[in-house]
Amino acid sequence: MTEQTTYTARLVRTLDPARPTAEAVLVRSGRVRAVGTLEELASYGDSRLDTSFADAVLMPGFVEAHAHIMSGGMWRNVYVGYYDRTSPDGRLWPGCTTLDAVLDRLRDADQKLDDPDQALMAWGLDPINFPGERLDRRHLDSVSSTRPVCVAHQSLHVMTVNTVLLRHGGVDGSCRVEGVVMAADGEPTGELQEPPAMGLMTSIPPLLRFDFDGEALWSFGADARNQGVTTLADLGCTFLTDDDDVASLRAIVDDPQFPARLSVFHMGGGLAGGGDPGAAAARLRHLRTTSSDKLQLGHVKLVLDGSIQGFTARLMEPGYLRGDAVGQWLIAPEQFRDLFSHFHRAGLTVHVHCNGDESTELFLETVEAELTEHPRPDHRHTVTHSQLTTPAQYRRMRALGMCANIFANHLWYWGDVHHDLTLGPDRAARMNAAATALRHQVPISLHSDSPVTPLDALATASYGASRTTPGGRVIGEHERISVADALHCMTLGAAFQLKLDHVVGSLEAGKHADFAVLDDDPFEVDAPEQLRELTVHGSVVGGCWFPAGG
Amino acid sequence: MMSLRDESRPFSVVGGYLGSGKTTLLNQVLTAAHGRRLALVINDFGAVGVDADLLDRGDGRTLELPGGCVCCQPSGGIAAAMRDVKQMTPAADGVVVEVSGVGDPTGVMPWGDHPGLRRGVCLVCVDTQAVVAQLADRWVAETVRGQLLAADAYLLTKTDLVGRHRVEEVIGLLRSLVEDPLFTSDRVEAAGWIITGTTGTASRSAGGTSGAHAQQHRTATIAATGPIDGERLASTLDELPGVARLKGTLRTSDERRALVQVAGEHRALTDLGPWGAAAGHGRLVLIVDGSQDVAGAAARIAAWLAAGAPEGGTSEPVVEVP
Repeated sequence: MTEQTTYTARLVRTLDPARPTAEAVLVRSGRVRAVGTLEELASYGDSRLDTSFADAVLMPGFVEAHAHIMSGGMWRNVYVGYYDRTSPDGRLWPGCTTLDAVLDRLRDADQKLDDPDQALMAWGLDPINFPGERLDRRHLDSVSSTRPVCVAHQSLHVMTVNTVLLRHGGVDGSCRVEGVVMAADGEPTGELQEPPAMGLMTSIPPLLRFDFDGEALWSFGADARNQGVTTLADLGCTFLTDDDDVASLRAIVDDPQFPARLSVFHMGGGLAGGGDPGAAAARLRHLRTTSSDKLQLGHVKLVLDGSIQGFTARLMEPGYLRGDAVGQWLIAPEQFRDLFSHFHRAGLTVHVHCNGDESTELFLETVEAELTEHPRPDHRHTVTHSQLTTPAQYRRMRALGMCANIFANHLWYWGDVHHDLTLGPDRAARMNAAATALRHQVPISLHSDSPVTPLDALATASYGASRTTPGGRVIGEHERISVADALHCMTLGAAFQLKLDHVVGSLEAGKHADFAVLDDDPFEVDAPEQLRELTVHGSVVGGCWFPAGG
Repeated sequence: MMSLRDESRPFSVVGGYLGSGKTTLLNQVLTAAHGRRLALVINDFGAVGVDADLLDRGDGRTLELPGGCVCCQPSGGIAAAMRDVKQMTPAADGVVVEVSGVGDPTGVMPWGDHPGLRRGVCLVCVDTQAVVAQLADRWVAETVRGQLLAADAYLLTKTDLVGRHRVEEVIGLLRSLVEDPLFTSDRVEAAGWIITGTTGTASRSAGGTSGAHAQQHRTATIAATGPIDGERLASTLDELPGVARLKGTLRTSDERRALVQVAGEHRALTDLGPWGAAAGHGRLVLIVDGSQDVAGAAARIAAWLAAGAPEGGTSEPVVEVP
């Protein structure tokens, strides 16, 4: 007889409304056999009693439906952001709230590098937190006057470098490249804005890698484990066209030591990706059949526009708060229709990056036209980010059978920027409209887009429920959703959009035994902010225990 | 014309909306490149690409960009391609970048200021069959308009498929957007501009479909010496004289970066975000036709700028006419 294990807990939250709580979970061959009282579970025959989680609260493992494998690779560089962040190895990196703290962090890292010529690379600086002060090359020269030092800003559109690195790039006062910021003395400050200026620094490696990166993948999994996230989605991968890369991907994710399930979306267009969509669709149909319990292949990502804070999201009337920018398409509308049509007709699920409402509008028009020609049940095409989707658009999405994956973390990280600078108070209050979506019965989830914001499902749920900014301002109180709804978003809601809700997202008989192991009950917090105070002890994936790092 | 001793290599950009003929033009560029080693950075998005036979035949080297936007992606994309271009040995004789069908060439041209390169020609392909409709299109009107405003020169394509009237209409349309546009419908001529990175040899034939600037342009700069009131400037934008080109950024009293753009009768003021740490208060670069009074135009612009000082403040712009 196959071995069975009964896990007891202080409380089991199943996220299954038919049996919302339980005393224990019975696991057989990596799957939930039953939940219930110990007495009920005794009906299923002998089992080993595991009391490791007897003082903990078990939830279904969280599902993050929009992140990127490359976020695991960011930790090769030194984190100097304003907010606390935990690296995949479990180390807490306290936020650098002053420029001195940034420099101390860099000096510390400088001492730890053995090779005197190795570049010191850092990321996460957001100058918006240091009004009146600006990091420049002199600050960085005080860290090292011999080794190249580069600090990438949070936006990834700006970097600040030291004098050594400027010299390597041949940049001095005579440089005419736009974006090389010059000081009053006519010499470069060390700040390089936008790709042409940043591109002068060819002696350092690029911060983001788009090729297969096994080390980043392992880190990505470890990060998930620390947050109780047991299913991840990489939203936009350009290497699924390469057999060797797919084999490498498979080897890592299917390794029993890899602590998460992963759905890897093919980047079908915009930002990167390309090629013949017919061939790509055929290949994805094939790859889909090769999916395993841990690795899901076959979904598609398309990118329609840019970002709101970069003024490149496509906005309809009344547009941005100031200026006459209307945003930027990353795919021509005709091309988008063609790509979408290929993937839709191949029976694939497509998630489309739409930050602005005009992008959502184009996506909805395209889906409606395509469904009219080629009706398809249960497609689960999803507007991802969905930051400015309007109530009318949500009504239409309901009619078209579409989902929304809402960028709740933006409310915390950029809520004040959207309120003050990009959108104004009214539109900011309406953005990331999770309550409106639920009122119109559109299936939703919430996401981090890690590395853009940290992978942390409980924090993401808290942002959707509280809609507060670090300064305490509430961005749109009527778009708050309940903690219970937010937790549903981060489990079954996200699983539904990945077409994995039959196997993960709740603790039900027959589903994978994937748990988030928490120190307390997230449904019983007094305020949504307290979700961020909970401790995640680790994850169970298919019945295997992966304790959080650190 | 570039001097023989000028060792910098031209960096040209080819833009234009989807279907406007960029790929056909690039094939012409490869055919006409003869012994020149061109680094061709192409935007391989769709199924139809640059003719592989042409690539194999020459010494040219192409670098394929992943599809999508080359101008706004922080890494990957053009950044990765330009890294490769710089590592080519021996160095390429010139660089040609194809921008995606929705890309704005403006963001790509600054790569031409990199060491060893010089800005060549920003050429935008104009589909004479489609451009009128595109400029009224619900989704892409501003995208196409932005591309047209970014160009140094235009290739009118598909002129054989439309009547004389339509070609005239498109030329009129270009003239309403920019003063004295430089255009041709001859792909060979356009390829020559791209390869050499200059339109210096082009000749004008008034009223025809091939034309060039009548005279050399004249330029001036108008540097601000104090912050300006963004709202006041916005409300007086119409008072700016219509000139061939006026472009630059200004520092506003609330520390914003305001982009001023004038091309013919088109005037725009755009908020580009916070001013940042840069010194000074910004400056505008003026280009007028040789026949026009550059000093007079610059003085009018300086007066407009001075009137934009915040309430109670003064700032006398500094005008430089080379």
